[in-house]
Amino acid sequence: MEVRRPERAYWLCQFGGWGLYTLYVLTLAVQFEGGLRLKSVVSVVGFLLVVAPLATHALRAWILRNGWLEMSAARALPRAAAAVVLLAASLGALTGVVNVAVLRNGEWRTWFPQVMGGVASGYAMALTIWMWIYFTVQDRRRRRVLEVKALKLEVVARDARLRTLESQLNPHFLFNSLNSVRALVAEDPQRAQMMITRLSELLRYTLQSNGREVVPLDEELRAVEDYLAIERVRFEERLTVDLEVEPAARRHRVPRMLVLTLVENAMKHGIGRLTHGGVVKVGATVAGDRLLVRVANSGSLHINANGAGLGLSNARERLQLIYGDGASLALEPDGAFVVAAVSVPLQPATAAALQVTA
Amino acid sequence: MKVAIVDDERLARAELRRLLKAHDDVAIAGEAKNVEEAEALLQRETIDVLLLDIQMPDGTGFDLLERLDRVPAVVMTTAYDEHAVHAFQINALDYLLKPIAPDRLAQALDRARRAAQAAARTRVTSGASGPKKPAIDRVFVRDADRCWLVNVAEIRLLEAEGNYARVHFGANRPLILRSLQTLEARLNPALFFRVSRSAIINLHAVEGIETDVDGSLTVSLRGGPQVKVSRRQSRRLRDELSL
Repeated sequence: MEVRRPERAYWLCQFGGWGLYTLYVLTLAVQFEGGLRLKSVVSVVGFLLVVAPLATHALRAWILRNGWLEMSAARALPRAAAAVVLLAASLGALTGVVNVAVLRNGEWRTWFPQVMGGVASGYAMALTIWMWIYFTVQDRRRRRVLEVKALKLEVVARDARLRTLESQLNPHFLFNSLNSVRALVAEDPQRAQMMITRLSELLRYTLQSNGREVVPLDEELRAVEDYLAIERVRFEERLTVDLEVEPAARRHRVPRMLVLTLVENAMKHGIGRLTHGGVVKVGATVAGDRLLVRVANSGSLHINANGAGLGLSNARERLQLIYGDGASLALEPDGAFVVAAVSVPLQPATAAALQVTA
Repeated sequence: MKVAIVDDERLARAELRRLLKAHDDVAIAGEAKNVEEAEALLQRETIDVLLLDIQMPDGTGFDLLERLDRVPAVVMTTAYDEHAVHAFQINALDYLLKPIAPDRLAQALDRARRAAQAAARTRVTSGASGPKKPAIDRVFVRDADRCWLVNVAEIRLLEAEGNYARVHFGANRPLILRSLQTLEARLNPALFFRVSRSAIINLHAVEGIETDVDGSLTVSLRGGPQVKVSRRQSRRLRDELSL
């Protein structure tokens, strides 16, 4: 994923940190030596801006290779402390050797133990700070990565759940319809053509979600009309359809396939169980800031209850995932009818977010 | 061959009628659009092959089979290969998926013809001393979530259990809601023998017979239990088997 940018930030920190320390050491040198001597400047800049960054870069590689970041504090701390001591001592020794033998720096010759001690403890302090910054930054970054991962997993899980809940067209319906079309081809070619068109439209709607979780009611109702037109061909005089939709309701959004699922349920558990058939009524109104959709079928809840559970509980869970507690779905008897009543808020809050996942 | 069509959709029935026209030896004896009508039709007419839909408004095709005394050869028709078809385990002659392919229908009818010939042959060999009504060829058995269409010849033993009869066939022994009296009246007497008040055995399934001290018999059935024969029936069974 992001490789370049953390790497740049890392080098910026390396040189920024060591740069600050270089300035600090140079001010000390000015105080002690009463001015900047070339040999000291070469030594300080060479060691603190070249050798030290390289050394800590190697240290980082060592830390990563040995997995110190994954260790508990109790295991990482002694290792880090040992590394600081060892590295400070080696850098101190190297600085001493170079200053005495190569640069022939007079200060070092006369005050070797004192200068050596100061330089080594300076390294130790700087390395301790380096260690602290490195572990803190790494820890934060890891935590953020974990958080992002958890969030992504949550979104994926929710998405998968929504997809399984979204009902598919019942294969029973599909093959029965094709059987009816086959019969109609001989009996009434014009109706057969109409039915093929309706079936195609309906299949297109159910198969092509384009990643949309909610659609305008108008679009959903067109699919419902196709569905019911096909069922009227199959059920003939056993099915009467009654659509009563307020024009203002049509532009508001509903979960895709929700009304269709309720109508399918009404057919399967209602009309399909009545020897002489019955009526399916679909109604929609806007009430305040809510869209109300009602699907009613002749019959009694007793018949409906038998097996209607899964489709409805899936629809309920879907409403919950999309609207939280802002939507409801109830199935209740009403005179000679069984009514499935859905209420959703007019502006689904997460609708925009949901459209991103395709 | 007399065929009946049971389906709740008029178009589905019309389609079957149209497809059946291609078969000269097939006569459509009637149609029904629900379980109730189908039951009446099958009581009125003697049918060779029943083309039966599974889902109907007032019940399933299995509900219909369960209500029938005399079960014809059954070809299930269904729109989708659902588990209901798989639950139907043994001896449904065939099942057809809608929309029905003409050659698949021809195949199913072929099977029905062969089954009818085989049944006719057994009836002839079993002699003229049959019951007033012709003997049944198969019974429909449903037990919890499984069902079978059992060829009568496969049944070894029928045991009375209250109002029910336990049917032993293969490795299965489900219960059906029929009294032994009812069943006995419908079974071929050349094949089935009432050994006591509570059991009927298939004579072809008898593997061995032992005589007890009191002269009554105990019959061992192939792959099944041993059955005690009542004293009165032991005498008749000896005559029957000319022991």
